[in-house]
Amino acid sequence: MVIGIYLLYIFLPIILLIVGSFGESWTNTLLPTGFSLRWYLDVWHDPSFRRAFLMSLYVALGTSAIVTALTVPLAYALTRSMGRTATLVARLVAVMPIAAPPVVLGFGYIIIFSTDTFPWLGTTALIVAAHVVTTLPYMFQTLVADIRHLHLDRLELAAESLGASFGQRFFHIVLPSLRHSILAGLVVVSAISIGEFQVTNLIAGFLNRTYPVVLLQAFYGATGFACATTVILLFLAAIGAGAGALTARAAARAKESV
Amino acid sequence: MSIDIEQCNFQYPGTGVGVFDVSINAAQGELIAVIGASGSGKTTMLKLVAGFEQPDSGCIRVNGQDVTHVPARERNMGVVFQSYALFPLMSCLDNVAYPLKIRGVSQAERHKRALAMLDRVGLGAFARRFPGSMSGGQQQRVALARALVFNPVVLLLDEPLSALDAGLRVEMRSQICELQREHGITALHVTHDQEEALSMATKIALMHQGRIVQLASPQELYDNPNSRLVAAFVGQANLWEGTVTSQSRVDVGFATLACEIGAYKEGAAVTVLVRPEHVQPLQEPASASPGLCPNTFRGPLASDTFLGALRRFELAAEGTSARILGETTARTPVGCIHIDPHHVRLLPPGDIPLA
Repeated sequence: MVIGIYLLYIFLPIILLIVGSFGESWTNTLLPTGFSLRWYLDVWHDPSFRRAFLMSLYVALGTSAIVTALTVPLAYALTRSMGRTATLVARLVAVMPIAAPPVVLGFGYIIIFSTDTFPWLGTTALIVAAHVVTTLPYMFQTLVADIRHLHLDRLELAAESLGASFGQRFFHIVLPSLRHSILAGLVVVSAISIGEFQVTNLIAGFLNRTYPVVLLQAFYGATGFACATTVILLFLAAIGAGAGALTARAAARAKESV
Repeated sequence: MSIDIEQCNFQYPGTGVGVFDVSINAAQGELIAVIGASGSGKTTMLKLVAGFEQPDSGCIRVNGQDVTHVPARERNMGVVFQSYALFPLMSCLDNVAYPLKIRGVSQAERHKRALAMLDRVGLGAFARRFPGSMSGGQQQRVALARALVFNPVVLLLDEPLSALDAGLRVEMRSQICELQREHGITALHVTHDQEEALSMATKIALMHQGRIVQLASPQELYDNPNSRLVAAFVGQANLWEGTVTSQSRVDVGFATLACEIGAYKEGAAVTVLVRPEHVQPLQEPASASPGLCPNTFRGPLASDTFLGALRRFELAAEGTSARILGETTARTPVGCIHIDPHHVRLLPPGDIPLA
C-alpha cells in the first residue's frame, strides 16, 4: 500500500509530462487535448536547446573522466593505508555533499572566480570542475566499499610475492577488479551531472548553459513545449544510467558464462 | 636452496606482539613446519621470510646470501596463502602463467609451462576455468602450481590446508610433499595443525608467544619434548607434576611410578609424561594383588571414546582422583592398566624450558 502510493507519487508526474509533451494544447483541463509531435520538433529546431543538450553530454563525459582518474587512485591509496587520518579523510569526503549544499558551493564560486586573479566564471572548465566536486563522493564511497569487500590487499600480496611491481599490480590486478565498481559509480556520476541545476545555473555563461539550466526557460512558454523538453532530459539521464547498468550486467554475465 | 633465519626480532609497532630471537636453519630440500597456537608468531615469521615485513634486527639468508633488505617481489619465493589469493578475473592458466609473464617469458612459452604445471597438480583439464567456479581444494592446487611454476628459491606455505575439509586435507598433504620433493625445494610450512606438521615435516619448530620453544624432528618432538608445553601441544599426553624419589621412582602425587630417571637427581622436581598409547590395558591379573605391581592401576572408566582404528579411554585410578588417558585397539572391557617404566618420560618442571 505504502509502496503503491510512493510509486504513484514518483511516476504520476512523469506520466503526465509524457502525456503533456504529445498533447496539442493543455490549458485549464485535467488532460491535454489533441495529439502532436510539434513540441519535440520545436525543441529540435531551437538552437539554444540543441547546444545545451550537447553541452550537457560534453560536461557529463568530462566529469566522468576526471572523477574516475581522481577517485580510483585516491580510494586505493586511502584503503591501503587505513590509518586514523586516512579514515578521517575518507569520512570527510563521504559527507561533503550533504554538509555543503550546492547553493553554498555556487555562491562561493561566484565570489572566487569573478576576481581578477581567477576570472573563470562562465567557463565550461569551471562547470566541469563544479560537477567533479559534487559527484566525486559518490564514486569514492562505491570504490572504498568494494576495495575492502574484494580483499584486494590479499591479491596484491600474492602478486607481490610473484614478482609484480606496484604498477603491474595496479594495472593487472586492482584496476580490472574494480571495473564493475567504476561502472556503477559512473552511472551515478553521469546521472547527477546531467541533472545538476543549482550550481550550474549560478556559474554557467550564456553559451555554455547545460540542458537543465536552459530547461527553466521553457516553463515561461507553452506547456507542451515545457513537457517535451523535460521528457528529453529524462531520456538523457536514462540513457546515461541505462548504458552504465547494461555494460555492468554484460560484464558480469560474461564472467559467469566462462 | 637453504634458508637461514638468524636471531630475528620483530615487533608490531605499539604492541608487545611479534617474534623474538627466532633462528631456524633449513637445509636444501627440507620441509620445516612451524606450529603453534594462533597468535604465537608463526605467520609473522613467514612474513619476515617472504619480505612482507622487515625484521627489527637479525637476518635472513637464502643459500648464504643476505636477503633481509631485499623487497618481497625480488626474493623469488613461492608463497601459498590460506585464502588461495587466486586472481578471480584470470583463468587458471593465466593465474599460473602470471609470474612468468612478470618475468618476461613469451606467451607461447609461459602457457606451455603453466599448462605443464597444471597437469602436474592434476588440473590440466581446468586450464580455461576461472577460480570462482572451482572447489577449495582445486583452487589451492592452482595456487600451489602458481607458486612453483617460476622455480622459486623456496616455497612458503601459510596454513594452506586449513580452509579445506578433513579428507581433502590429508590428500593435499601428500601432494604438497610430493611436489616439494620433486622440485627439491626447501619449504617453510606454517600450520596450527600438529598432525599435519608431524606427517609432512622433516623438522618442526614449535612457537609460543613469539619464541621458538623447540626445534626438532617430528619423532624427537613427540618422543622427547623439552617441556610440558610441547608435550601438551603435540599429540595427546598424560602430564603430571612430580618429584624424583629414588634412582628408579618418581612421585606423581597419586602414586609412585617406576621409571628411568636419566640425568635427574633424587629430589628434583619434574613433569612426568606418559603418552596414551603406552598405557596398556591388562587382562585382570588374577594372581597379583593390586598395589604390588608398580605402574599398574585399577578402576572404572571415566570416559570411553571410539575413534575407529583406536579407542581412547580415561581410567579413574582406584583410591585416587587421578585420571589416566589411554589408547588401545582392543574392544574388550578395560578395568586395569599398566605403564611400562621405559615409557615414563621425565621433563623439566614448569611450562616453558629455561633458556
